[in-house]
Amino acid sequence: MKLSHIKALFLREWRLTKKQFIGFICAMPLFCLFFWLIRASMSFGNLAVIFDTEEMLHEFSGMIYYMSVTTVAFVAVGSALSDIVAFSADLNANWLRYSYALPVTPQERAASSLIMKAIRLAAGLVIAFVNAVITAKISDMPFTADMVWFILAIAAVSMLYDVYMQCFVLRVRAAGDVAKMQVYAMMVLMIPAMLFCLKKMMTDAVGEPEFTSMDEMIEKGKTFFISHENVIIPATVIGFIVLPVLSFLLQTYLLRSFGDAKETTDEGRKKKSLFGKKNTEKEADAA
Amino acid sequence: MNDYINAIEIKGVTKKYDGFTLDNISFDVPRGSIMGFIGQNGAGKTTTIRSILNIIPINSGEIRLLGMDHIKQEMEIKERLAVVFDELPFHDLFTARDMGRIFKGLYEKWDDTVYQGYLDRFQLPQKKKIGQFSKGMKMKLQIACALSHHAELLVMDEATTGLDPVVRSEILDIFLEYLQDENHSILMSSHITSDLEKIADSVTFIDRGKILVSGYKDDVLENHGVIKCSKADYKNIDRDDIISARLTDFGAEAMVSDRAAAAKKYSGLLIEPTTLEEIMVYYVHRNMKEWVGSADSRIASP
Repeated sequence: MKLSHIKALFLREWRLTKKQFIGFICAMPLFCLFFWLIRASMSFGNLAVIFDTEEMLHEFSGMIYYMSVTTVAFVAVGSALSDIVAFSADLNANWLRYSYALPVTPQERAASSLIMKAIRLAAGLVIAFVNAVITAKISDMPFTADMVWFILAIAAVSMLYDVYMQCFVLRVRAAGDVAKMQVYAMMVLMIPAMLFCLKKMMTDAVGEPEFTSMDEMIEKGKTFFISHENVIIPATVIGFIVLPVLSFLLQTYLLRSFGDAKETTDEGRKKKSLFGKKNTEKEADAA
Repeated sequence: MNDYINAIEIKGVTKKYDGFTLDNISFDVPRGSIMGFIGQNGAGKTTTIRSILNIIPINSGEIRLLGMDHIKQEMEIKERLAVVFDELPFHDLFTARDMGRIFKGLYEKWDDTVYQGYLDRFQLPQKKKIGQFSKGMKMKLQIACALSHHAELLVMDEATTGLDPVVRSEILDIFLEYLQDENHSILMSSHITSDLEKIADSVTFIDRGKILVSGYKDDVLENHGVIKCSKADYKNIDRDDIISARLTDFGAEAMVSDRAAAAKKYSGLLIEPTTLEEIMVYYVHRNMKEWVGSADSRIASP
């Protein structure tokens, strides 16, 4: 692997996704602000009328805190990791095909992409941690080491999902098929999960509905996390080590050649696209 | 480093697709020459070029570029090779300056001065986004990028298609300049035969995945000829002597691949020199042997 090649590929990808990245950095504080404003309103604004007791305020503060930390971490890290926009743009511009005529190895290609992801992941994590600290302060909740591991565990899950999506999307060689493949990948994941839930609902005994307070729910969640710490923490650490390696190997393997891709193979001759339909004229031209 | 005779050597290459096969093709591009790779749309030109560049894996055969194996020494080859495709493969939001920076990192021998020289010569703005370039400007930028790392072999896939005659002529001049260095070679695929007639040293015809003719352009043009005759005379021509014949209301035009032999055998008939375009058209119709064409002013009267 040549460092100059990785640097050049990184420069290209950075130039391509710079605007998207800056937009993401600008949008995330607004997203965080949404939860901060709700919490502030509960104490000082219109929502103070509803949350008028100390007990209610405390309960819902906890809820806002955990909701904010969880959603912001998922959105920040998940969006940061996604490089599908860049991949689609490469397919659209025919760069992917052209890049196989350049003196670039699949390893260099994967390495530049991985560095870009690492930078974006770091940015996503910084946003997630800053949000957690500020929300904890506003909500009068403690920011503990558990919370750090909780956010890192969310990042590891997002990384796993990213690797899963790569398995599908990096096979695509026509820009029009990227979105379809994403939907397909999600369906493959969702359908077994839904069937599992349905089975559980059908087989589990239905008892009397129990009232659970917000505090109890949060406490249950915390207890679950703490009682499984001996699994979650090592799994997160392993995830942070193994998943980037897996992502690198996967990219190297799936992008090793443009291959006999399901795209137009020659002028005017069309092959069936991944989903059985004929590619559109535009895709055919692009291919 | 330069101890090769042929810039490209293709031996028995087969590539099978669903519904199309590149069938055991072989041809060479001698060093220091420009080869025109001719064929109609879907003939297999792009598949051949993709096989040469190892963009697609071949099923069998051997490809050597600049004296090296196209798979084992892929990176060394690609460092010394340049490619120009029919469409610009750069993102619209990049500028010519961005592309210079990117390619500088990708090629060891990238030469900023040469690149700058081409940008000035082609009058390409450095800071304007590529998306705002015309088709001609995009092609010029791609050529500037291709020729700025001192490549020894230039592979072009329909590079002049869709360009106006002025831009095409300008680009062809650049290629001729590039060939002034005897170590430089070009493989140029096109179905615009007039361009190749101007600059090619040798030509290779491909149709339906098979190489039909390959050789020096002058020899190919010298050997082929068109017998122009009346329909009555045409009946006397041995069908094995012709590639195919165009029949019109006024007579017949039959392509022969050995003009000298045909001139002896059919001494009473007019045999005219031909063009690459005509050769392509007659070869494409070879399976039909006879085909009906529109009346041509050059056809002999009955």
